[in-house]
Amino acid sequence: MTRKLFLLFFIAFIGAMQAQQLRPMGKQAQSFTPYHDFRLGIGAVLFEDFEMSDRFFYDEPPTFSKTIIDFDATTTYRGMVYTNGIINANYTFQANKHLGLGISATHISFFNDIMDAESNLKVGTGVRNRMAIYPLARLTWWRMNGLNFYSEAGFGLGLTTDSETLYGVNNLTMKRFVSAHATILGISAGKNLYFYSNIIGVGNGGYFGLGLGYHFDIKTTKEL
Amino acid sequence: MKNALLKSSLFSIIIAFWSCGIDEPQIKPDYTLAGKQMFDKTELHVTMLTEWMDVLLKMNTYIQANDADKMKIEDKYFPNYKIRNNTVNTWSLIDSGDTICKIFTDGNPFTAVGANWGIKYKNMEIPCPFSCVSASLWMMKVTNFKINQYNEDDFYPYYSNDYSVETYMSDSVSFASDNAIPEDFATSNFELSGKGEFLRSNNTQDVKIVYTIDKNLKHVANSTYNMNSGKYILSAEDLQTAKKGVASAEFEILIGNTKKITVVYNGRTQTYPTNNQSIILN
Repeated sequence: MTRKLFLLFFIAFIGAMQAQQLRPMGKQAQSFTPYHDFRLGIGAVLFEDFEMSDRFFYDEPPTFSKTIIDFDATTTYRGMVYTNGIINANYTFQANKHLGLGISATHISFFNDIMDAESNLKVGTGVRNRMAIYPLARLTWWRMNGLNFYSEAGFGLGLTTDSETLYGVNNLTMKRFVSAHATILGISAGKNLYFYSNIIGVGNGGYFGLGLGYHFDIKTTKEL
Repeated sequence: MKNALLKSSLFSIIIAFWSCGIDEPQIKPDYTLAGKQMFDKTELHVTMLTEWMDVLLKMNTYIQANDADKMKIEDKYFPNYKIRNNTVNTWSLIDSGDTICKIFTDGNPFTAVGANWGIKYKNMEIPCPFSCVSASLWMMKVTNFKINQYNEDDFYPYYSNDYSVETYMSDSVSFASDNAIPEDFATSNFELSGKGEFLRSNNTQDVKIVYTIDKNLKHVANSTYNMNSGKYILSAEDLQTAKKGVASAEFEILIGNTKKITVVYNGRTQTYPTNNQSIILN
């Protein structure tokens, strides 16, 4: 399902690239005006994200046990685990043609229902939220007719919250972590409003991402 | 600018409501597992008692047979053992020079009213007594009977995959048959009633299980199952952690020779075999 959606987005992205009016070559292309850049996008979840979690994604209990009587045997089971993907929002100030500095924030949520094993009725929910914030450095290493190729990296702090509500009783735990993200190859295409895609990435922004960006030229802002 | 805001808003909405499943639902847990384990352990315990009863009946058949038939009976019931009459009323079953068990008689046939016999395996300190209390009715009654001291190297003869052994038992169980002189346990109809408790131990737990036979346990002659129907009321307590549980377990053999066990544990009911199980070991 996820792969199909990515494929759909990717086709849309390619289509959008084709539909862009490219900047004319010449003096305008060579001069550079600093700008504020805002992006909002979605990233794909690393498989490790849910494989490493023991709260919502634990393995099936072993069939062999050294327990004579397992008084603590579980009476509930979790349903399908959903995620809305990694939502990315970032801001950078593009000071020159190559270097942009700013900040990035990400959020991902995993959520599932918890069912009573006998009745199959929903008796609770489990929600894991993971938020990360980190300074971001973006290196745009090739600009060509409105098509930009870039890499970016940053690291900072993050917070994971696990909230499980079972039979009306909520149990919340929080855990801090060091957040980091690196995009090895990213492409953006368009004018002020543009599409972007982090084609190869790793970290809290997801291994693949795409979204929309908008930038305000400094000169334009002053004129307003 | 307006157009950009509109596109951005639309995109934000899509992101906000977009979600996809990344992991399948879990398989349902065995939510009456503790009750089923209590049942399994009790079945194991009762099977142990019936095996002792079976040895006593077979030995009675052997002793009561005339000399011409003794060899046939020995070959039929004790093909892997040598039978030795140690003293007047004491008999031994010997396997490769190792005395597996001793049977103590009072000189009367085991099927005679008033007969008091005993059976002692090497893991027991004293013989376990069985009495014929009336025609076709036998009684086994013990209190704090030591049957096995926990030893990781010695699980013989009653162990399970949790590496536990029974160490003590207190039972008051009667065996009623429709046959006044049953040759063995397997080929006669039997009904068991009574109650008891036993302690089961391994290196992590000491669990006391108390059982009451709520509906007589019925053994059907020549059945592949030790017991064909019945119901237990069960309770268990971990003596180390003081955790407790209560259960009931009713079972029957269905057409097709499947054993159906209905377990109620802490108010929850489940029937075995569950959808995830295809075989229930007897």
